[in-house]
Amino acid sequence: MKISLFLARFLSALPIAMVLSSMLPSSAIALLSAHDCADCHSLHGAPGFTLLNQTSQADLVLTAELVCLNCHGPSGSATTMATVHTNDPNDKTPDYPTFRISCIECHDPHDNQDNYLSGQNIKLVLPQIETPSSGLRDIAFESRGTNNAGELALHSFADGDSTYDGICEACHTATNHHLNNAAGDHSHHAGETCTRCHDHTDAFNQ
Amino acid sequence: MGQVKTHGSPLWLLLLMMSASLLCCGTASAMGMSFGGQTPPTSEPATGAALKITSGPFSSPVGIAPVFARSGLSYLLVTDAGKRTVSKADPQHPDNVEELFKVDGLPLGIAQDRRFIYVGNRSEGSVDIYHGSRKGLRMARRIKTDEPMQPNDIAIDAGARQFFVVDGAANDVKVFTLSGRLVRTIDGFGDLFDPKSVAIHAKSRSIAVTDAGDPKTGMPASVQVYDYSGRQLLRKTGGFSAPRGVAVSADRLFVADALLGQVLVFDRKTGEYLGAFGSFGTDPGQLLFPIDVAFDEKTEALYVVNNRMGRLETFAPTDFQPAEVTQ
Repeated sequence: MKISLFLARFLSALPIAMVLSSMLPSSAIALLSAHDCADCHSLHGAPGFTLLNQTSQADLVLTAELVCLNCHGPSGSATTMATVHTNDPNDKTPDYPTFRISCIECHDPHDNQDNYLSGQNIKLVLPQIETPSSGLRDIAFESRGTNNAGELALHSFADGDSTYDGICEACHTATNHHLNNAAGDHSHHAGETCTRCHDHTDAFNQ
Repeated sequence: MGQVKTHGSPLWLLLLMMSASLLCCGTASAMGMSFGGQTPPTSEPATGAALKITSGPFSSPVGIAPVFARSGLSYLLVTDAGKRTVSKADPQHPDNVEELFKVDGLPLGIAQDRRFIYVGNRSEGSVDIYHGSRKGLRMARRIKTDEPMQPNDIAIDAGARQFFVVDGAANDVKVFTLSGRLVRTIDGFGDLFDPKSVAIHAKSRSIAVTDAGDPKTGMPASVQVYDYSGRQLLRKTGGFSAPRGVAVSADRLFVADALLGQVLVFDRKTGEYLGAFGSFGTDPGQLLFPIDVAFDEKTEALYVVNNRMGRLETFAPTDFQPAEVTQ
């Protein structure tokens, strides 16, 4: 009893952050300032694994998708909206086989990471992506392409060069433009901001 | 940038911390942000099984509105943020869907009175009012406020000639006349942080509102009930992960929890938790990101917008899992 009291008094004097941090997984990583741990995790009472506020223990990709869309989905509170990358839902005769790319297949929800060029990717884009049909690819996504002054900023969605490390082109093998190899047309609005037309909220369809 | 640093705590300190968590569990559990210190009323989570999303008739259904005729529920209106459409679903066969019209923007909440369909348009920050004409359903009017709204949900009391809009941008409930004049704002006196859905109980002249809370400041998610003047009658916290759509009956509140994958049922007057419908998953009848609900008082059927599955799910009264089973 005395030991318990001692422990309780001793521990109550410790900073709460110290207690919490020691209980968190040792692999916890830096967090983007716009995100807060509690946006996705609960220290106590979380129903899901990795303390997620979500029930599934079965599928990390899908689990993360639900947590992301809780804020970034249609009636979410985030100002940056998005949905998963799929065929055009209004296209009854799609040109491509059915596909579905979920959030964490392109993004790390915690923070921006350094890429293979020693620069830092933006928008939480992963430095490497396991593509559906072309293996693991390096990604350099340091800018959103054409800036407000109309100047091209390299290492964006698809620069039109021969490295094919843009976040859009890295996977594409069946599109009309910007494949992840030398084939086809690489001049279509090269270096510009793809998402101005292919909106993330429209599953990147036009 | 906010940082969570990697820690390599000594073993003795880690053990002390674990002891602390046991000793302090009564206090510490109250720190659970989203659940308000209560164990969520969820069934045992699925383990191991792979979840597979199959496509339903919708791409990303968001809002649902039941439309009643004298004989009962006539049809369900559903907004689809993926297709940017409003569709009409058959209550008997919810996969039987007829697309009514395209929306110029991202549609969220929806409601209908006798003549008009009201659609929340997130892209425009407005409520768009559609009516029928010889050329089909066309937008008759666009209602805007000084600041763009995020019209997460809409409910109409045709008898009182008012409609209510949950505005996720201003974090309040706006009350309009049917002609579109803003007459009142219900801000919950600071209790609304991220309101998601609204439902009315016309007989008692009250509204139910779900609120996602504010994890950053530790404010828990809740369901709240107000009278039409904005006086708070009930605020229920605890047991939620991500409350979204709400529906009301004479005696109950139905709250779709998007992350728990269930519709939680509460006593409308006391807020007592009564039980739940559904379970998390991708099998038929299971819920993956349920975000709105509609209830048919006559048949007691519950219709749930199963967002990630692109479907509507229908639950019969026999599907109800009482609290003693789910807790």
